[in-house]
Amino acid sequence: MKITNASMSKTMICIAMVLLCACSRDKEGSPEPQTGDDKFYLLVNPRTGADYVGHTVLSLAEGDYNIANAVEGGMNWNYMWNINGTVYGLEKVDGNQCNLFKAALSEGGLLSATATLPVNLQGYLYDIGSDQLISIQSEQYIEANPAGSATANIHYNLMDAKTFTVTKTGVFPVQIIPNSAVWPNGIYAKEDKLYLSYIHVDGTTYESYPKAEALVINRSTLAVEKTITDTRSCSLGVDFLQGGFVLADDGALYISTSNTDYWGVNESLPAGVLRIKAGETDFDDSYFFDITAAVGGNHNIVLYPVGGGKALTKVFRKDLIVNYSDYWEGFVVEYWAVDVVSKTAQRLNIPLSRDCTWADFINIGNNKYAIISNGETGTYYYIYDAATGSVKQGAKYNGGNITWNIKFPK
Amino acid sequence: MRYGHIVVLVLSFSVVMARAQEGTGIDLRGKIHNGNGKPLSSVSISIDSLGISAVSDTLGQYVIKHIPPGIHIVSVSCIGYKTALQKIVATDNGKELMIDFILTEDHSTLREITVQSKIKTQQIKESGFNVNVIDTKPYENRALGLNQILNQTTGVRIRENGGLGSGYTFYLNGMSGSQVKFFIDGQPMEDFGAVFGLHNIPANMVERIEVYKGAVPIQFGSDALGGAVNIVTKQKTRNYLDASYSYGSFNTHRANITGQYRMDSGFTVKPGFYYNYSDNTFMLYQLKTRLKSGVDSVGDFRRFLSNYQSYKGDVELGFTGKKWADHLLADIGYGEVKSNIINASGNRDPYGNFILSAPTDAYYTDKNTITGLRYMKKNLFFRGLDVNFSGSYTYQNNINHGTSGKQYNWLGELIRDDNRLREIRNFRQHFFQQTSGIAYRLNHHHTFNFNFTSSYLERSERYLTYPEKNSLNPLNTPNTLSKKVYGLSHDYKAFNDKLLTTLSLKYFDFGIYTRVSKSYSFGQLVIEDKYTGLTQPGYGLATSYKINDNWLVKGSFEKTYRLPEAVEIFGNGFNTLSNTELQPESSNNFNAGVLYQAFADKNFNHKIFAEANGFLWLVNQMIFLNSGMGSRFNVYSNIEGVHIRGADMMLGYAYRDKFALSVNATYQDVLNNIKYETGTTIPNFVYRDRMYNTPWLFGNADAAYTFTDIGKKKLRLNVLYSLNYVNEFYLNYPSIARAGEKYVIPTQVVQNAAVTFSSEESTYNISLECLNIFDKMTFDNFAVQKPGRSFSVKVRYYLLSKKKV
Repeated sequence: MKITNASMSKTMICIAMVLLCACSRDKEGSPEPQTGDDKFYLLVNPRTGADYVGHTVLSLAEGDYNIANAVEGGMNWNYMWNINGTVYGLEKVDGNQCNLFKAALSEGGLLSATATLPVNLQGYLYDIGSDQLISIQSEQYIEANPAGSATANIHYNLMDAKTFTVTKTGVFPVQIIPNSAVWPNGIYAKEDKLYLSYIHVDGTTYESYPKAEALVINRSTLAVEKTITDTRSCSLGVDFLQGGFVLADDGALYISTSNTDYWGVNESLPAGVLRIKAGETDFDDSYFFDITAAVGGNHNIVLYPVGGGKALTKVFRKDLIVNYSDYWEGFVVEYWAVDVVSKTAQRLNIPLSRDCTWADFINIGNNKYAIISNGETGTYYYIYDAATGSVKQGAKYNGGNITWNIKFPK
Repeated sequence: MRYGHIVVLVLSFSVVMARAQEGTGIDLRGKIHNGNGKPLSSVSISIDSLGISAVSDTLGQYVIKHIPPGIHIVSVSCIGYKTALQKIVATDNGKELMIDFILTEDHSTLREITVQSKIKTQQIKESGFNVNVIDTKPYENRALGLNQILNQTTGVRIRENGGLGSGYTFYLNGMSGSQVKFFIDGQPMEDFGAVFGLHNIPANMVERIEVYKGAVPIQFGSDALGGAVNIVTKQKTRNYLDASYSYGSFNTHRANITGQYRMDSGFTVKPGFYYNYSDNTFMLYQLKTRLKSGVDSVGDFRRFLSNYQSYKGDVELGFTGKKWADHLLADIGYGEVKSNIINASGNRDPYGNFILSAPTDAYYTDKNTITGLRYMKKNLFFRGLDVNFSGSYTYQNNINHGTSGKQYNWLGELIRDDNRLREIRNFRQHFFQQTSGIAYRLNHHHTFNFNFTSSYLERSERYLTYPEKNSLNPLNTPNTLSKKVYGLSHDYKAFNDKLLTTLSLKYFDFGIYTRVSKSYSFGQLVIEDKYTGLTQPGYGLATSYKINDNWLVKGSFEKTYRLPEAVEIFGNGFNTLSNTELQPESSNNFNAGVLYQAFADKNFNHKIFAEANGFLWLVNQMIFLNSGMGSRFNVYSNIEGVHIRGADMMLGYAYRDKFALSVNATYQDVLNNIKYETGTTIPNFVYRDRMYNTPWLFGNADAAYTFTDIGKKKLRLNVLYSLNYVNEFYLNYPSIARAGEKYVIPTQVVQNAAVTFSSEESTYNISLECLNIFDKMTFDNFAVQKPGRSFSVKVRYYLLSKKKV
C-alpha cells in the first residue's frame, strides 16, 4: 500500500512517540491540596486512525465526558510536562529546532503559550532541582546510534526555569557495545549527582543487554564521572513513561528496571527495583525487589511515586498476550500498588485495561491519584487513595481512549 | 465450488442466448468515393454508439454487418477528407441497407485520428464497467502531466505535497495507495520506478487514460481493490513526429519527443523521450520560521532546495502490420529522477501560521533501465483467435543521500551544521513481469478471454556510508515477492448487441520471501527468514444495456481482494513486526450507471451527452499500521472496514468542433463501518461517520472555443477555461471535537486558462497557459501549501504522415 501523507505523518508521529515517549507526570510525591479549581487537559485517541483531540475537564473523580465536546487545534505541541505546577510544552519548528513553551489553557480549552524558549533538541524535560531543567536526547533520533562505534552521545540542554533561558548545552558520552543502540530513559538528581538511566540494546534485535546501566554525572559541572551497572535486571529507570524513580523518606533512591517485551525486551531477567542508598553512588548489592515474582510472574513498567516509598505501577498479563499488538489492543494491563521499601505489592481492584502508555496515573491532590482504565466496558478513571489504599470508580469518558492527561492550575 | 456452479450456469445460459441471437439485425453496404468519383479505400465507416466499424476496400466498397434495430449515426472518415455523418434507421427485417458516400476534401489531418479515438473511447464507455476514458488529445498542447489531467475526471483526487515531482497520493472514490493499481498498456507499473510517476509522463505520449472504478477487467492482472488506471500510449496507424518544449514559472522546463516510423517491410521504430525540470521555488505564505537570532518570525518565503529533475528515453524496434504479427516490438529505455527530499507534513499554530520544516540538503536519485517485448496478433491461426503478450524487465537503482547535518530556516540561512557524513542508502530492485492473453471469439455473441499475469521482484539495500549498519539491515540480502494473477472472462452480446455482459473470474497467487523478519511468539521476539504464500479467488460481472440510441444503462459487481504487501506481512525488520496472520483486504463493489447522448438538431451540430454513476463499495478487513503508543514496535493489522457510497455525474455539450463545455461532480460518503470498538461491546463513537481527511465533494468544469480559418494561413485559435473545485473537508471525523474550531482543508476553487494557436494542419502549435489565475492559496493536505499562480508557454511541432502504415 502506498502510504498516504496523512497516514505517513501519523506513522511518524507514532514512531516519534514510540521512541521518545513523553511523560506527563506531575512531580512525584508532592501532594497538593485539591482546590477544585484545577483543570485537566486530556489527550484522547479516537481509536479510529484519526488525529488525537484535546479535552479540558474539571474533575477526574466524577463526570461523564464525551469526545464530541473535545477540541482540535490550539498549541502545536509534541510533548508536555507539568513540573512544579508549571506546564511546559515542546513545539517543533524547523528540523530538530523546537520551542519549549510555558502552556496555558483558555476558557475554550485551547492550549496557548505564555513564554517561549527556542531549543535545539526534541528531548524530554526533567526537573533536576535548584530551578534547573534539563532535556536529553540520544544522538540519532529514532535510528540506532552509529553501529560499530564504541561511543554514543546523549545531547542535553540545561535551562534556568526562572529566567527560562538555556544556560548550557553539551553531550554525555556513553560507552556502548558496537552495533548497539542507546536511548536515555530518564535523569534524576540525588544529592550532588545526576543519574542518567538508559537502555542499551542490540542494534538488530532491539533486545536489551542483560544489565541495568546509568551514568553518574557531576551535578555542578555536568561531567560524567562513571557508569554504574547491575546485572540482576536491565532497562533502568524508564522515567519518561510517567516515572521510574522513587526517592524514599530516608534519602535512598529506588530505580525501576523495565525489561518487559513491551519496552526493554529481555524477559529472561525479572523486572525489579534497584537501590542507591543515601550518600552513595553505586547500586546497593544487598537490595533487589523482584517485581516479577511479586506480581505473579509478569513484567511491569512505570513506577509512579505516591509518597512514603510507595508507587503505582502497571503490569502486563503475559498469559493474555499472544500477538505483539495485544500489548496495546488487548485488555492485558493490571494496576498494582507497590512498596519499594518493604518489597510488597497489592493488585488494585480495577478491571483489566488496554495500555494507556503516557498517563495511567495523575496526582489529583489530597493524596489521591487518578488511574485510567481503558476497559472492555468503557474508559473510566479510578481514584486511588494513597492513605487507605482503596480504589473507587471516577469519571467516565465516551468516544475514545485517554492516552495523556496533564493538570493545569487555576 | 459454489462459484464454479454459477459460472457453468451463466455460460450455459450465454450459449443458449447466443444461438438465439445469431443472424439478427441488418447489414449496411455501399461505396465511398470522392467528389471526382474516385473510389476511396481504407476509409473508416463506423457506428460509434455501437462500437462497430469497417474499412472500405480498394473499390471503395464497405459492409457493416449485424447492425441492431434502432436509429444510428454512421460516421465516415478518411484522412484528408471531411467526416461525413449519416443517420440510418435499422429494422429487424434482416434486409440490407445500401448507402453510398461522397467525401469532400479537408486538409485537417487530425480528424481521422480524433474519430478513431472516439470510437475506442465509446466502446469502452459502453461496456458494463464503470469507467472514465480520458482522451488526452485536448491536452497535447498544454504543459500538463498525467496527474493534472487525471485530477479533472470524476471520482479522482490526486493530493500533492507541492510542485512538479512532489509526492502525491492518488484517491479513487475514497480508496488510495495500493488499493488502486496502475498499468501502462496493460502492464502493471507499480514497480517500474520513479520515472513512471504520473507527473513525469506528458500527455503527448499518451492516447488515452482509462480509469476503472470498482470492477476491473481481467486484462488488468493485479489485485486492485478499488479500481485501476490504464495508461494507453499512442498506437498510431501513421508515421508521425511529435516534439514539444515548455517553459514556465519556477524555472520549470518540460520537453518531449515521440514518433513512429514504419518502413514498407513492416520494420518499425518508435522512439520516445521526455525531460522535466523545476526549481519549485513557489511562495509559501504565513509561515513560521526560526531566525538566526534564535527567535521565530512569521512571513512569506520562497521555497528552496526543492529541485526536481526527471528524464527518460526509450525506443521500440520491431515489426508491425505483418501477417504473423500485428506488432512485435522490443523496447529498451533508460530514465533517471533526481530530486530533493521534501518535508511534506505541515501544521498550524493557534494564530493560523503555518509550520513546515525548512528543507534540508537531502536528495535522492532513482535510475531505471527498462527492457521489454510485446506481441499481438488478431486472428492468429484462424479467425477469432487473438493473442497478446507483453513482458518486461526493469532495474531500479535508487540512492538516498541523507542530509549532511545542515539545517536551514525559511530564509535559507544556515542555522545549524552538525557537519556529519551523509547517510547514503542504496536499494536495487530487479522486476520481471509478463502478461499473456488469449481471446477467442466463438461467434459474434461470445468471446472468451484468458489472461495470465506474473511478476517477480527482488530487492536489496545497503548503506554506502556507515557500512557497519548493513549487518542490521533486513534488505542486506535480497527479499523477493512473486505474484501470479489468472483471469478468465466471458463476453456476451445479445439482443442486437444492446446487451453486453462480461462475467469474470480471477485467481490471485502471491508468494513473499523476506529476510530478518521480526515477530512475537510465545512471549519472545523472534527473528528469522520467512516465506509465505497467499491465494484468493475473485469474481465479477459487468453488464450494459442500450435502451435506444440515446440511453444506455450499465451495472457491475466485483468481489475483489488486495493481498498484503511484503512490508505489511513481514514488517520492516526494524520497528515493524511481521504478522503472518494478516488477511487480504476485500471489497464487494457495486456500480450502476446511465449514459445519455443525443444530437439536438438534425444536422448533428449540437451534441449533448451526460453520464451518471452510483456506487456502493463494502470494504472489509482493511489493513492499517497498528501502533502501540509506548511500544517500540508496531504491526500491521486488519480492522473492519469502511463503506463507500456515492455518485458522480458529467454533463457535456458540443457544437460541432467549435465549442465544448463539460461539467462533472463527484459526491462520495466514505463511512467508518466499525460498529463496536475492536474486542469490546463499546459502541464505536464514529460508526457511520464520514472518514477523516477524505474529500467528499469535488468537481470540474471546462469550456473551450476554437476559432478556425483565421487569416490567410487558416490558423486556428483555441481558448480554454477550466475550474477545479473541492469542498472543504475535515482533517478529523466530523462528529468529534466539535467544541472548538475544527481543522479543515479549506474549500478550493482554482481557475485556469489557456490559449493555443495552431497552424492549418496543427503542425505548429504554441500555447500560453496560466494555472491558478487568481493566485489562491491551495491545499491538498492539511497546512501543506501548493504552488500559486504560474505561467507557461509550450511550443509543439506535430507531423503526421497522410499515409496509413
